[in-house]
Amino acid sequence: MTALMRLDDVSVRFPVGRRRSVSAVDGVSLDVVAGQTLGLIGESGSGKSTLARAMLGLVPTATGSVSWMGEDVAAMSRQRRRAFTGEVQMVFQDPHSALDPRRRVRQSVREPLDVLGRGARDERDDLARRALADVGLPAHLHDRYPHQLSGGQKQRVNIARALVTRPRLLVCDESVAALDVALQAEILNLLGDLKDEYDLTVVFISHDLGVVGHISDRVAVMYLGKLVETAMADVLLDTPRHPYTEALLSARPDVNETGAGERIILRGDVPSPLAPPTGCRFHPRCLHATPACATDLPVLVPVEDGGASACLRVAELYGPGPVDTSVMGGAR
Amino acid sequence: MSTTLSKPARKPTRTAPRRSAVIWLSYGILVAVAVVVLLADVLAPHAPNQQDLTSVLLGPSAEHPLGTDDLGRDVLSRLLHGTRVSILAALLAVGIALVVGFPLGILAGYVGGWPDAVLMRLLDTVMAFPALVLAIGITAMLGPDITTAMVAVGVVLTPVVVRLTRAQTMAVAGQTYIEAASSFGARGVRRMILPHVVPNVVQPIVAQVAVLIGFALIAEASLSFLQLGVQPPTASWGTILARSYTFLERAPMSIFVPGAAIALTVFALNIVGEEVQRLLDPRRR
Repeated sequence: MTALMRLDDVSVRFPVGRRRSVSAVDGVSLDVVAGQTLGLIGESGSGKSTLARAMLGLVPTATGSVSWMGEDVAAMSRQRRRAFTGEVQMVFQDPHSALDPRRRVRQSVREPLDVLGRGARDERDDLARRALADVGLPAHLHDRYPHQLSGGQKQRVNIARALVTRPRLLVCDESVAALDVALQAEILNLLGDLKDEYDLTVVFISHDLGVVGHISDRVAVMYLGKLVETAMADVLLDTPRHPYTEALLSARPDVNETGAGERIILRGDVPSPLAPPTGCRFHPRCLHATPACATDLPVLVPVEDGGASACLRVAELYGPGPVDTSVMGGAR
Repeated sequence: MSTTLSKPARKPTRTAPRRSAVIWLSYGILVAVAVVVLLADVLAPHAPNQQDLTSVLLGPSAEHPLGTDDLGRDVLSRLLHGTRVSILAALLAVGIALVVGFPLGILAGYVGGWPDAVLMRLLDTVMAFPALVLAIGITAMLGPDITTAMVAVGVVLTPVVVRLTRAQTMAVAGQTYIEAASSFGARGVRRMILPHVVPNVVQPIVAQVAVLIGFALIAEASLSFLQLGVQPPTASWGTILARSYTFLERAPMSIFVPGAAIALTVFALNIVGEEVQRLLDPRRR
């Protein structure tokens, strides 16, 4: 288990008005393990997309560091940075607006090669066509404009563009959210196939538990810019070890077990990230909150089965953690 | 609908909608204007400044199809030569507005921050003046001359171009395809501005250019009418108007002809501008 990308205490702040800023991502430490699919879930505004952009260096980090195969991305030379850019690619949420409407899709797919100076000039068209063929776009559509393609075809083009530089890490930011269910399954299967074919590591961001559970090896749950729990996907779905994850899972519609398991209804709304609650950010809505939760800041502590939970009462609520605390590597 | 059903073998193909007669007429007017600009010397029956004081203020005849003015000069020849002067003057003004305004608009819209704030406040100041009055002021200060006058008009038109470009750039800069491009390292003028920003910004600007040329033509006529633009004896649409205004009752022809030329050209530019905007829409391809 080697970390391909390691996030260490990463915070991203956006200025709002004068001398005020909002922390979209606050002190997140996370390992992206080579060959695994990491699911990142959380509701709207929890900072998942911002974290993804921080991974690619699209937004500056206020604190902490992102390292790629042991090398700090911020300290990379120009040349290394270019190589890094080609190795980490992103597939965006809206397949339509992610493509330049004035370029044929083959030109769009070719562009990363031009920008990063990959391959011989006259081979780039072939590489682009091969990437488009790999994602299953028929050859007669390669010279179309984006508006002439369907949503699913456009998302295939976006995936082809992300893969044309042969990246090692693919970040999918809600990449199937804009598609209907049948297409979602199609694109998810495609991603699964490509993961093997291209030997990819995938970070998959979604608010859809079903989707994340289906394709992820490991899942990280975010709430208000903080990581609240990480665990292997099957463990997390079975035995969540954070009250927020529990609430999320209970909100999942289940067609098999009607009425089984009571649904946890959270009180109130997600607090404003401009003025996050003190202590545990989840405490105002938590069913198990104690006075201590309002003052003490929880940190991720390792729990059983290699997961980690940022709940002060994790031992009380979900049983004792592992005795050997040195398994932090898996807990991150 | 029965006709479509009776012909099932015909594949439904998308054809461009029929262009109306108005659009063809507008293209025709602009082509005619372009031909006159290029070939005024060949087309004009007389020299534009050649006086013949024995035949002043004549009506239309075989020798002078549009009559003569108060100094016996052939109105048709003056109109043809004046077209060249007026059109080139308008193009100069719009050219200045575009060359200065378009890059500034892209800069302000894409970079934002303090360069945007400073530039916009400066342009607000320029825009606060009534356009023609500012042009008159600048020309009066620098001396009446068509080049100065049209540079002044260009200055007046620049904020219009900047504002439009800036607004469009801001809309484009927020699009995901710009973020996507930067996700694989595209930045700077060559990789970001030219391939992604400019092509998506340019469409409404092109339409606006046609409108601006119309405005500049009218500005040329107005300034020349006030003796601040084209100087006599050079012919332009504005100077012909100014001269014949004095003799309106005796020779109405020479005031209507340049007036009609201005009106028709501006009309054609507006129609063609709209059409070009439609043609540039990527969804049409």
